[in-house]
Amino acid sequence: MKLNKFTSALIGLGIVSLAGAAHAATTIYLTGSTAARANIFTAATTAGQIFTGASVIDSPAPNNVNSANTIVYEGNIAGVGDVILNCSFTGSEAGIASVAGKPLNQTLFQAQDPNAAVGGTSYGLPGVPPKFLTPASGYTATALLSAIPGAPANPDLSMADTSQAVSQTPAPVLTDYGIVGIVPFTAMKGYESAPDATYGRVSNVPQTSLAEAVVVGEALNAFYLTGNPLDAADGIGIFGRNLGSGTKVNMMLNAAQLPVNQAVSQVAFNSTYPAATPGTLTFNGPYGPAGAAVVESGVANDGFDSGSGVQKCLNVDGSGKGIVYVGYLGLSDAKHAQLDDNTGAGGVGAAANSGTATYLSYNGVYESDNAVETGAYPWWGQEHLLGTAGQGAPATTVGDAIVTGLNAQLATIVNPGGNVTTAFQNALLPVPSMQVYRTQDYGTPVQGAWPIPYQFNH
Amino acid sequence: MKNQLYKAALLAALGLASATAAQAQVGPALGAGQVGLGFNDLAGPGSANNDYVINLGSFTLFTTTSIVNASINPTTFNTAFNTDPSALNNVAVGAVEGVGSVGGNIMLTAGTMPTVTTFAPIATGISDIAAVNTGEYSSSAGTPTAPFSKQVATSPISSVAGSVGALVANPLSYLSGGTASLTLWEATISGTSRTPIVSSWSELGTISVNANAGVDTISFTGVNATPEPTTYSLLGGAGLLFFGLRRPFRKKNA
Repeated sequence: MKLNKFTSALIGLGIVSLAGAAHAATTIYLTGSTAARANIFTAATTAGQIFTGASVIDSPAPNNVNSANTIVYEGNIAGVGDVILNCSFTGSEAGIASVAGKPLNQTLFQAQDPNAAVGGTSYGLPGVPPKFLTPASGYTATALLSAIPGAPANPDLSMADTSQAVSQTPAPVLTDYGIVGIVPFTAMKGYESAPDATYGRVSNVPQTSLAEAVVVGEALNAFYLTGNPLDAADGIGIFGRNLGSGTKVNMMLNAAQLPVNQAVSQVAFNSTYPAATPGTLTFNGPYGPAGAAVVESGVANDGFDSGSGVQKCLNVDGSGKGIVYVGYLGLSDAKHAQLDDNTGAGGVGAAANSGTATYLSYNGVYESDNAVETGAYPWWGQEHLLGTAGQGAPATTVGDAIVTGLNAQLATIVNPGGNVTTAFQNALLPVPSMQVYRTQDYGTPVQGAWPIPYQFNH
Repeated sequence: MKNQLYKAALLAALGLASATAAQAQVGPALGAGQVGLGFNDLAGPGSANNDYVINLGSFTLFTTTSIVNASINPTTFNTAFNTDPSALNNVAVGAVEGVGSVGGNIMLTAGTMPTVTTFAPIATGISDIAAVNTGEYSSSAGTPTAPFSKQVATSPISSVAGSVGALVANPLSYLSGGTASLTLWEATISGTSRTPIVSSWSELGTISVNANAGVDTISFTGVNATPEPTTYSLLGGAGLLFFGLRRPFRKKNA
């Protein structure tokens, strides 16, 4: 069901019935990780990858670019016909929980969220369940699936930076399409317009120091990152993600090497928990100037539900606080943090007083395609595609097509050489390019080609 | 070891059979602010080296004036430890809780008042506690399970490096004849994120554990708690019931 402006107008006038038109296409709902969002965009808009021929984007701007969290593609898939792929990317854990039809809650305390009860309040995580662009609005407004006529109770498919086995929702067992790519992550330090000497010396995040820093928080001295006794005066502040994030899961399991549910001590700049979105840490700005305009909040085990929140905090001017701020992100958000892109469509454009974040190495190695593929840089996860439990056609046919399409798309990517400090690296790498593998979603990679099968047709 | 047939019959007579139907399995992580009571058995045979962790509820329930009652699931306890004929003396038990960062706190049981008030080990201990999985599982279970034994302590005299027992204080005590009396302590965190201050420890009360067959109780009594008259009556009644049941139970075990 292609909804161009004319069709949308007819729908608005009641001349064309959406209920009648819906029979012409099969709608599949895809949610989960944002990490593969841009790759799915390319695979869905390149003929012969996910869709057999040319495809269209049904959702108008701003939901028609590769950075859109909600977007609707339409095209033909062999064995199904006209397929509407309605996407709402809300995070890996949120996606797994939603496809499983399970809630995903986190408890906040008054020290973080003044609206919480003394003993803590359990909030549902943003994106569980996700909201999708609705056909009734011409794909301009979002709603829960329960409010979309004809939609299933739960999304059909989810991308996830981790497997279900290490997720917050291990049951019911979902339909596993396997690993569709390798998703790298990186650490960055936040912008300071007037950096002190310690800030300049922080260039690397050792695994053991990262583990201590995310647990202990700002009380830990920057000495732990630099090894320089002169850096004992500054602390380390961590900008990070919440329970629903696959980025956080990978930071815990593969970078800090901590149990995934171990509590962390994170912070945020100029962020609150608005009453209108209970339990959701929200960046409000401004980005500076440094000093009184920049207010830091301890958010303990909470964090942002999107990488853009971390990115924005990294672009805030954190000068003069005696803290070196470190954030962890996927490469797409890291790229925006480095470019100081935090305003406008797609996050392009720099806000007043904001500045560029700086890449940090992990265990002395900067992220790069080469370092990931050779195992020199182990801070990466496996990107999975999961479907509802006991899933059947046509969802399985579409799931298989997404796997095939991503394989075709990833086979075309080019290794830019260098590392994140010299060239933008790929945010999703093809499994066949890996010279190391993991047998599970965590741990030290071992040398060798990835054991097959790692993908499963249904 | 406990007599399951006798207990099943008793529970069935009371209409409570479904209470023991839960299958032993790994439960969710304890999370921040929840008091977890953990059993483990390093002293027994390898097959009994398991953890059984019960979520006793929010830390706000545990004050110097409160009384909290909970129960042990006998089926789960037996699943974990029934291969140890001396389980009622070999199994260790302790309780922990933590809320991280400024405004947070840590609670744990210990024979004497803990002395650690340095923030870094306290923060790490709190972080360890949040990850502990509830339910029943192997003490050596790996990712994604975070066993009580690894995160808190393996026995009253041993702890994994970086765990609560190694960093703060070991909260475990061995059961003795199936019972244990544990003193619960608390420290709070104030100050700022950069310079947090851990208070000195204070005694909250006593957690009494009775893992004997047919009892299976956990009760917390704050140091200043005053049981209501009806509570005295209930305790007296429970005592009579216990001694009434104890004779046939011992005969079954003989």
